[in-house]
Amino acid sequence: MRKGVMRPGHVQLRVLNIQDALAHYRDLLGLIEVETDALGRVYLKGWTEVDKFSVVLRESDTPGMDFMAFKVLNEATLDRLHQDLLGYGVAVEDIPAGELNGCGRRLRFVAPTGHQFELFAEKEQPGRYGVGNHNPEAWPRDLTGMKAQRFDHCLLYGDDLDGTFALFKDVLGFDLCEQVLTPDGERVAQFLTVSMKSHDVAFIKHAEKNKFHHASFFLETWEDVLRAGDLISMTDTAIDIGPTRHGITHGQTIYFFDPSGNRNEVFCGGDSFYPDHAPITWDADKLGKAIFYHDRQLNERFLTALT
Amino acid sequence: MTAHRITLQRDGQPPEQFIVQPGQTLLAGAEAVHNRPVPVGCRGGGCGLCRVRILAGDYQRGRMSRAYISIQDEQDGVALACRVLPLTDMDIMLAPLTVPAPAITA
Repeated sequence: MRKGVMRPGHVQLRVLNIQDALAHYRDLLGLIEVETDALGRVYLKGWTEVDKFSVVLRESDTPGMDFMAFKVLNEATLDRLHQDLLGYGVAVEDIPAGELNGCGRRLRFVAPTGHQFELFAEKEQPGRYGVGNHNPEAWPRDLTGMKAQRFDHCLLYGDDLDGTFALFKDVLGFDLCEQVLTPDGERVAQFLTVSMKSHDVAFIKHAEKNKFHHASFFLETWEDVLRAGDLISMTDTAIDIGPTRHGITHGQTIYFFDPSGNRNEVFCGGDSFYPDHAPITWDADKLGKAIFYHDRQLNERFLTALT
Repeated sequence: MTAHRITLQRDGQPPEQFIVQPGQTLLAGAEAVHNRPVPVGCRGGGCGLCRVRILAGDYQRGRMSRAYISIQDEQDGVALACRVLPLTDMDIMLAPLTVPAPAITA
């Protein structure tokens, strides 16, 4: 049952070199550079996103994900979710408004898989880049690179999938859209949604906690995904796999890496989800086809290259 | 600028050699070889898959993840091949971290 969590709000990624990362996310993915804060963190967003930012880059000597945040309906919802998290036995850290420029107060907690998540209700809302909210044109004409439309979801690797699923379902109101089960019924992959999208966050079973697999960005068409592949070659960007199609979600996809080794995806399509839908189940021995529908086998790197 | 010959020492097997072109990273040179003798991951110093120990030779190293290369590793000549620019011929060996096996397998 939905609990007032609306959508992914932002992800903060650690990068080895902020200028190289900015060139990648701005010039290749085509995200809009918003600003740099006093700590040197760079804020970006996809052009269709109404909020001020959705990607924050922070320079560090260890690439990976600091946290992923979800936006909730309003401050009253945030207060209620705060109590619900505490009642569930989850420690919650209060991050004051303004710690991220233009973002209201955030609640931070660690999921059983070891990943840091945040909830927030308020963020400055300048509207869609270049077109606004009043008689908007179809798209801004000054977009670059892949013209990524929005930050869409993350796939994270960690150990306690059941614990994280229970927290996301019971406290945050996510639904299980798709899963991969072993013959003895252990869930080794879970794709969770809090919207009509086939996933807003996903987890794959892994021995270590708190590993980052990818941050994904939405494109409009298959032609856009092919064009992204062309740009990846033109810029000699490290590729993982694709363009191809997923069995899970049926999205069309290409995977590649930022200059610090954090994996990115751009994709289009994907199934729609309603809360009355039963979860879609894949057998673990069909995992290759579930992840890469055409190759029907996983590349080793998909499972082992993590930050 | 000249190309450099890299010798990959292997336990119990004859060494393997490959050439790294001027300006190319150690990993890019290995990746150009038919059998890809060094594991290829993110190519960005982040994932640790291409971890090697440098036994001989001069090189420049770019920034790489502290999660996989400690300060001690750095002093011991352990590096991620995707961030190593050879300056001379080099002798190396693979130095994979013992990571937990994936819960699911390819």
